[in-house]
Parts: sequence; C-alpha cells; structure tokens
Amino acid sequence: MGFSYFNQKCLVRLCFYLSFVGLVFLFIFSFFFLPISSSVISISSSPESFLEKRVSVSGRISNIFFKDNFAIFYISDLGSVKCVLFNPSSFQKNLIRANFFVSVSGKFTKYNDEYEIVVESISLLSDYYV
Amino acid sequence: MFDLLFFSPFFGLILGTLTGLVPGFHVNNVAHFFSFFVSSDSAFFLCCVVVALSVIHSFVDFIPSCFFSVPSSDSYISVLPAHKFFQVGLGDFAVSLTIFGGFFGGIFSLILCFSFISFLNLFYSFIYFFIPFILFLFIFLLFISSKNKFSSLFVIIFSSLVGFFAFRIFVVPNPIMPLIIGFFALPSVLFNILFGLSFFPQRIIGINFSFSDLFAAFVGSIAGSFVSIFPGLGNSIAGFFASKCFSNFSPRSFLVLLGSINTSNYIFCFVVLFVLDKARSGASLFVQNSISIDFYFFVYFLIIIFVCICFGAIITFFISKFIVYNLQKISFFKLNLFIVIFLFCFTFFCSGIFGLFFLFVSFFIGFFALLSNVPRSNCMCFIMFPVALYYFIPFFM
Repeated sequence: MGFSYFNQKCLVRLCFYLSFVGLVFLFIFSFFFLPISSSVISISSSPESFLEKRVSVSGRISNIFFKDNFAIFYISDLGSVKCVLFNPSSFQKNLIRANFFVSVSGKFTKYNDEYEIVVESISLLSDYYV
Repeated sequence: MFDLLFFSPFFGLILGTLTGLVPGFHVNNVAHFFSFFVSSDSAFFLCCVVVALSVIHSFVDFIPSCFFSVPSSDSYISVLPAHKFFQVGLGDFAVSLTIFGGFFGGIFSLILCFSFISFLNLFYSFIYFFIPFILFLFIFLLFISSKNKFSSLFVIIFSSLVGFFAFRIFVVPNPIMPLIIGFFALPSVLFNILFGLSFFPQRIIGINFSFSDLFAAFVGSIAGSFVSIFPGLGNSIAGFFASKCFSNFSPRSFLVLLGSINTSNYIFCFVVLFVLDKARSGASLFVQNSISIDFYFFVYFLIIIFVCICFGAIITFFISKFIVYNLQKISFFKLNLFIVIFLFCFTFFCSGIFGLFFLFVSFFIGFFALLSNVPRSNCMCFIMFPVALYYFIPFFM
C-alpha cells in the first residue's frame, strides 16, 4: 500500500514538527487574539491600560437594568465594572440576576465618559470560585 | 499570565503523564484538586492545563493496560487484545497502535469538530429526547451480545444497583472514582497477583502503518463523537459496538480504534461544552464551572489540543520504549501489591469510608465478571443506568 512507508519513526518526527508549529500558533494567538483574564479590581483601578482590549472577568452581578434590546449590569469583586449586553438571548437573560456569580468576556471600552465591557459571552460559574 | 498560558501544554504534559501512568488516578481528580485554587486570574490558565492534561492522559492511559494489564475505565477493553500482543513480546507494538489511533483520531476530530458543531446545533434537541431510550438500548445490546447470558444479567443488574445507590441514595464524595477502581482496576490487579501475570521478554520491532489503521482511526473519531453526545456511554462501550459494526476489524485495528476513541472523546467533550454548555467529562465540568467560553477561548483550546496530541504521542512513544528496556528489572508481584495498597489508600483519602464500601462491592462484581468471562463493558451499567433513569423520569412527571 502507498501508506506503508509511514512508520513509527515518521509518526514521532511528524509529531515533533507539528508540535512546534502548534506552539508557534499558540504564541501568536495568545498574543493577538486572546481576551486578558483579569480581576474586576485590576480593571477598575487602572482602566486605561485595558481600554479597547478584550477582557475576561468574573464576579457577582448587581444593579441590573433591562431595556428592549440590551441589558446593563455591574460585575463586582472588590471593585466594580459596568457591563452592557446587546440583544441578549432568553438564556442569557436568565443568567443576569442579582448575586449570580458569572464570568463575562468582551471588549473594554469608554462610552459617555464611563468605562464598560461590551459583553460578547456570559456564563454562570460555580460558587467554589469564591 | 500570557507567559504562563504558553506553558500550559507543558504542565499538562507532566500531569497527564502522571494520571495516565498511575492506576486509579484520573483527570477528574486533578480537576477536582484544581477547583480549590481557581480565582479570576488563574481560571483560564488552569482550564488550559486541564484541557492539555486530559488529551495527554488519553495517550499515556494505555501503557498500564498494555504492559501491566491494569486498565482504567476508558481503556479496560484494550486489556485482552493488548495482552495477546504482550504475550508474544509485542507490548510496545500494541502501545504504538494506540498512539497512531490517538494521533490520527485527534487530527480527524479537530477537522470534523466544526461540522460536529453544526450537527449539534441542528439535531441535539431531537437527540436529547431519545437519550434515555438509546442508553437502555445499549444496556440491552450489552446483554444480548454476551455469551454467558445469566452471568451477564447478574453483572448488569448489580452494577446498575450499585451505581444507583452510589449516585442517588448515599452521599459518597467523588462516587465515580471508587466504582471505576472497583469495577476495572482492582479486579485486574488482584487477578495478576492471584494467578501470576508472567513476564514475557519484550522486543521492539518496526511498524508500518496501513490504510486500514487510518480507517480504524477515522471510525474511532466518529465513535468518540457519539460517546460525547450520550452521557454515561463509555469509550470502551463505543469501541465494543464499533468493532461489532465492522466485524473485519483485527486486534490490531481494534487497538487503533480504541486509541482514537479515547482521544476523540476528550476533544468532542469540549466541543459539546462550547456548543451546548453541557459538561460530559470531569475536565469539561471544571472548565464549565471556571470560565465563560467564547469563540476565542474555544479556538485557543483547539490549538492546545493540537499541540498536546503531538506531545501525547511523543511522550507515550518514549515511555513505552523505556518500559520495554526496563521491564525485566520490575517484580510484577511487588508492583501489583503496591498498586493495590495505593488504590485502597487513595480511595479512602478521596471518598472516605463509604467510598471503601462501594469499592469492595464493585470489586466483587468486577471480579465475578472477570472470572466468568462476562465482558466488563457490562459493568459500565453502573453509570449508564442512573443516567438513563435521570433522563427518563421527566417522561413520567
């Protein structure tokens, strides 16, 4: 068969090369695309350093406000940050409840002189976190 | 954080090798341990490590079952064909087949995962309705495919009852662990001690892979996706039925198939988590409870999986060679005795006195299955039955 030249050594050599390629991709992706995982307090204490970057934070929800096509809420740990979620699905609406412990990721921006996260994804976390 | 993130595959490599080599030690144990250290800053890094270690584990996991006949819940079905290779001095050959399966199964899974996402989006609500019926169908198929019907029925009923009591009635901490050790690891180890696993001189031979191996890896990838959709369905059960569907599978192809299913299942579990927000493994449960997975995180996980598929293949290749060269120096009796003591202590530490009780009960059922030549896939009813019941009860409400 045409495949029979592919032996154990070829497999291991291929794995070596591909792992190197994978690590390069990992490096590039983490540098350019990945949201910055941070605590709310770090973001709220030095917002300028996170401005226009994608961030991922977790904390408890408070001060919820629903409008027709968006939801505004605050996420707090030792600090607090405003979050805006546009066109929330019914599943996402169910997650936005006072005191729920959630993780959100999205772009950290400034709107009307106020810093906020434009939420792209939100999920409920387990309470073992805190 | 970025620097540390880049090294997550390497941390996964160390931990996954450890969980793969130590019988009874599982990805879930590490994920459970990590849950005590999760914070906003560390959550994503720990999730990356858990993803990495679960992929590495899926490769290294076959070494104890191929060389020492000590399987985990994912690899127990590989013991018999692997032992046949071991008896003729080809233990390393058997491991190489699972490496090939794991590598190409993993690559196929990464290629197929975007079609799998579309499939889940379109059909999952339809499939969800049938989950309990399909699980009961699998239990029935396990029964009718067994040659020794009476013993098989005994094993199915008692495993189901043990699972039901452990999950629903008694509050056993980490209930899966003592049951997996009792049903799968301990009977094999004690069998080795009582009946003496002989040493067979091992040799390393060159192996050329064929297209039939590649086909087996592809089938394994499809079967792995199937396992990730249906909760409670183990890798070995998928391997068992996939090999029944393709009856021309030789022991060689079967090992490739199992290697492929094992790795694919872990990958598809993360896809299911991303699409449906449903955890199908201890590792994906940890990720679900720790971070919100957006598209970028998901792609990052896929790249980590890709790197770890390569790492897993390389490390398993070298460990296998190391064992072959040093196997003569190992006393099998002492090794097995050490494993038994370790498993008891580990169970007591993680699951307490109730865990030990369930370990004993499941051990007797597993040992009975082993002695009466009942496929130990039947013991997997301990998880399939309570899960099927869980999904079935709403039909009566």
